[in-house]
Amino acid sequence: MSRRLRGFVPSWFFAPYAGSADMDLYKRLLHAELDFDVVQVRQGAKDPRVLGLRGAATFQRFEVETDHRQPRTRTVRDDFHRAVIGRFQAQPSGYDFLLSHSNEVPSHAAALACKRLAPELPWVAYFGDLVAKNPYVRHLPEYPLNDEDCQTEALTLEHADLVICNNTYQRDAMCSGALARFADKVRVIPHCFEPALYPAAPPPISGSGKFTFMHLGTLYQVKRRAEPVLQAVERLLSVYPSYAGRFEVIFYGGAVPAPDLQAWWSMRHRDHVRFEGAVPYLDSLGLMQQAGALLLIDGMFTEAEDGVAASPFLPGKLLDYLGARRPVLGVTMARGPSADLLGALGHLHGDARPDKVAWLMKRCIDGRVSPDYAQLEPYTARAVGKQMEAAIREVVKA
Amino acid sequence: MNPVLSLVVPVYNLELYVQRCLQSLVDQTLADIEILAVDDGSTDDSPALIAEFAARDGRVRHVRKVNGGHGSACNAGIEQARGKYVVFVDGDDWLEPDTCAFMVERAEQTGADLVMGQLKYFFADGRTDHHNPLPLQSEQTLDGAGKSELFRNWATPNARLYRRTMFEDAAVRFLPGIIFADVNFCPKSYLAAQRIHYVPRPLYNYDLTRPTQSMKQTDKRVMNVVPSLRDMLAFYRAKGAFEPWRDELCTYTVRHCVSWFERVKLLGDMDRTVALRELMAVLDDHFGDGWTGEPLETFAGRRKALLIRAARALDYRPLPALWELPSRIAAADDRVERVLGSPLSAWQGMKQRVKSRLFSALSV
Repeated sequence: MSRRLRGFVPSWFFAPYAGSADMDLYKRLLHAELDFDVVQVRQGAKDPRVLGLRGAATFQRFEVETDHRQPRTRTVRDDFHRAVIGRFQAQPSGYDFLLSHSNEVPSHAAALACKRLAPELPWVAYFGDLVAKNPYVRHLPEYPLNDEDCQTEALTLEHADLVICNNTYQRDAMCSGALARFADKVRVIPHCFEPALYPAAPPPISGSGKFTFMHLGTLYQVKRRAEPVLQAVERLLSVYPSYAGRFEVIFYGGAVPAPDLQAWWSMRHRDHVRFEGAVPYLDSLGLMQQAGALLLIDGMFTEAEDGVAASPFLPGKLLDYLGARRPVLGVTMARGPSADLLGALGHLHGDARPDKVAWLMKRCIDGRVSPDYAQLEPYTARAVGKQMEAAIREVVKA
Repeated sequence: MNPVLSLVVPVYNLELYVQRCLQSLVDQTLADIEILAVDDGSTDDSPALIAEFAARDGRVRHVRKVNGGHGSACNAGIEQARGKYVVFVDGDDWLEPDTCAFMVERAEQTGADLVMGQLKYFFADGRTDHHNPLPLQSEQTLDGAGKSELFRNWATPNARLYRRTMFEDAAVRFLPGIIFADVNFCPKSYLAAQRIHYVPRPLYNYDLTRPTQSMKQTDKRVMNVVPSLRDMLAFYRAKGAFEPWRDELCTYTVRHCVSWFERVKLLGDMDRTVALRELMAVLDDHFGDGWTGEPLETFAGRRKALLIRAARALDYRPLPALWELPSRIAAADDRVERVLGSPLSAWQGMKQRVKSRLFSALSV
């Protein structure tokens, strides 16, 4: 039996805070037979139910108190950096490896500083998303400290002993141009879902008996918008009026972007769509189990507008959707991890043309979708945790 | 035993619509039909849906072919049809349950080779409207004047029933490989039909709500109308019917060429002077100067007819430049206004007055 290793983990986001970024690393480490000292930023509301899970890993958490709402300011980043270095210097020889997680990217910057203090310590860096080649950034009017993040990404690729991405498109985009030489040190380990987080007996479907499409998560002002689905509702009811009243679409999330609200107001059949507030992570998993079908809306980038031929994003939410064992309808780019995964598992996906989305919605309502739930095992937190452990042990041994 | 009616359904990537269409056909009160669903090389779920209908209902036949366009798909259906009559229903449109029974009954009663009716348009805002291909108020078998009227109106092969023997002449087909094959086919069918019967009743539900998947207005395929018209005129010549139908054919061709002027205006990937010459050469080659008088003024109006005649005299060279003129003047005005920092109100007013006077003079 191999000895337990102990890792030092700067991770801006981590459980028991229950945003998707907080849960990402936690889920993928939960079943690794490793011990972790995690330095994280104290966020908003905790969900203590999260840490009640039993896994093979142990976590000792150290929270940094700073203004967690403003992660893209110098002061807050410095607070985090100092706290990480301070914690690491208190016990630099007590660890077998470093593991950093973005987002936020300062986790990697802090790990790099630790690595410089202890060059012999193997460093594993996990990127939840890509940074320099992130196609959303050019659409954001303000995105402070992005140059710094791009530089950190490049330095991490250079100095980390192992880099983990969650999909091959992300790896290929990150390791392009001058950074292509680091592609060999990237391992792809997908996102995962934790079956134990879902209610054993999901609450009964409320109300109407209508078929319910649910979208859980944030919509953006650009690229990841509700509008293709809203237009699809109009198309479906225009071509098949007999479907009126048979289904509804519910978007759970934060504030609805103005363009989507405007699109909703101009709908002829807006009574088929409603927007609800955000739902705590664990509750959202229970909701997912009640859906007739789960809607995924990816960032719809184009080669012409964005220079992006394939999506580099595998949404963590998609894996949570899969774990809910309900049909998923993905509005996705033709190439990318979402399209690949949904296609392989027998779910539905298509581009944002209203007719295409309407057709896929009709298929869902008609029960003409047969996902293969038997293939989900590789995406469980247990399976992914073992992959994470194996990757870390490999680096430590080397 | 052959069915009384063959319904030809061209389908290309119509997964959202094809179920509505095919269901409306299998639900027809006239049971003695065959449905030839022609999959024109679809890349979506349309073939699977057609296959399901074919598996469920023995009257549905799944015809597969490589993609060749709408006309080519209709032709494939014609080749396979066994019914006494043929009706074309595009895969994104649909029929009311009693339409086929009604059309066959009228054909049998009147002995018509071609029964034609109205189309019911469905708009995106929920409105509907009737499109009448002929300005006739009552049901009638068309005489000479009625047939002539056909050439003055927009042609569609839909909302029509054809006696299949019309297609024994292999030239009575859609010109394949082009868009605007309807423009080509309809006049051929008018000649091939000995007897045409008109009913002022909607016989076809035409979906105008569909988000446009057709070509961009700037696409040079708009010039497909040229081979479409040329092939149709060659058909009439080959049948020795050009001279007897000269006036009608001139009317029909002028109508299309004048309408296409606006499309040429938007062409982005072809020299617009060349395009205009190609388009208008169809008229010159078949009708000499005969089209530039009354037929032109009928459809273009006097002002536009004057412009077209003038452009023709100059081999259409000045027209694209003329089309550009307003935007060039506007751009220049914009630059001057930016330099001056104030609007050129007096100049704008003067331009407007000059424009009105010029148009008024041209209208005299």
